[in-house]
Amino acid sequence: MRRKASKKQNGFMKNDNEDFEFMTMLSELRDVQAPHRLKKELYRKLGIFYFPIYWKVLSLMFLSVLSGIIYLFAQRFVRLLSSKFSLNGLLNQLSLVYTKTAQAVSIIKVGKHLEDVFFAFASPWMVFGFAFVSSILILIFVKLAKQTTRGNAVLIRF
Amino acid sequence: MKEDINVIKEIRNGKKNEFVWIVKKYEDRLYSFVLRMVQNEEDALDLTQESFIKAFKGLDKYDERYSFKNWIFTIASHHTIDFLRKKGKIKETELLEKDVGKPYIPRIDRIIADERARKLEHEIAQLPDNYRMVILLKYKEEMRIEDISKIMDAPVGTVKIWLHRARTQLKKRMAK
Repeated sequence: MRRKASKKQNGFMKNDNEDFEFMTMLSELRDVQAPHRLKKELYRKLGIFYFPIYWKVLSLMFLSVLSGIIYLFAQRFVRLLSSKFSLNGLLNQLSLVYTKTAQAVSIIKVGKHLEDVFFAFASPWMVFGFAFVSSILILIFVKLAKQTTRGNAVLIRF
Repeated sequence: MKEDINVIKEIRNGKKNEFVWIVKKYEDRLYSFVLRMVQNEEDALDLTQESFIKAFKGLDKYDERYSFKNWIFTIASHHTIDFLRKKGKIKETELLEKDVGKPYIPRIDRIIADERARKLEHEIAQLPDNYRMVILLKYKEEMRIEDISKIMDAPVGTVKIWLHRARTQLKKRMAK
């Protein structure tokens, strides 16, 4: 009788162990990874802006590489400019541009003046004579206005 | 990882992008649960998505006193049950004995190295839908019988009977 009872008890214990093992197995069932498109489609449907982490990393990497390239190019460019142009050279260039502009303006002014003279004189011979003298004078002025360089110095004789 | 309740408060305050945290936390669990129920990857994907959308839209109805996990699983379970009903896939317990051969889930099969776990997955897949749901919710998701009965709209006694039968069935099949 006692043996029968202990046999029954052993049976229960075995059952309990089996149950425990079985439940552990059930609780340890592995989750299946959801496909990536689940999130993608879901966020689109919900109107949620989502930038996946790998895109964030890739964008940061791309931006840092791009900024590095831009920085290097800018540095090279500044170096190139500073080697080609000095402050004195730049001032010289500016004064040269100013002189050329002044010459052009003076020629236009003389031309305008000739037009006035043409209307002022009734006789064409007088106009012709005046124009002849004026053109010689203009030529002389233009020649005089031309700059000359002597060594590094720029001379403007006007 | 942020607490569910804090995330939900933020979403309710208009930060809807915070829902990303909820999706991140539950997507695999919910997808696995639905996949084990419907045994089709495409259907599982759609149902999981729809469950999340329903949860997002009905977030105002969620009562903060209760577990969010239970709430979202309730949505997914109801959705899955409706789907199975529509497809006529809900099997009554009596059909069990017929041992209807269902297509095996290749995705699950691939990731499980352990032979016994693989067999268990296979045997769970053979269970009727209500048994399978009870087993998964009780042991995989560690829910209380009372919560399962609410989720499944069934009395507690019925859920207990389903659980007992499902366990017995599984043990028998596993011993074969």
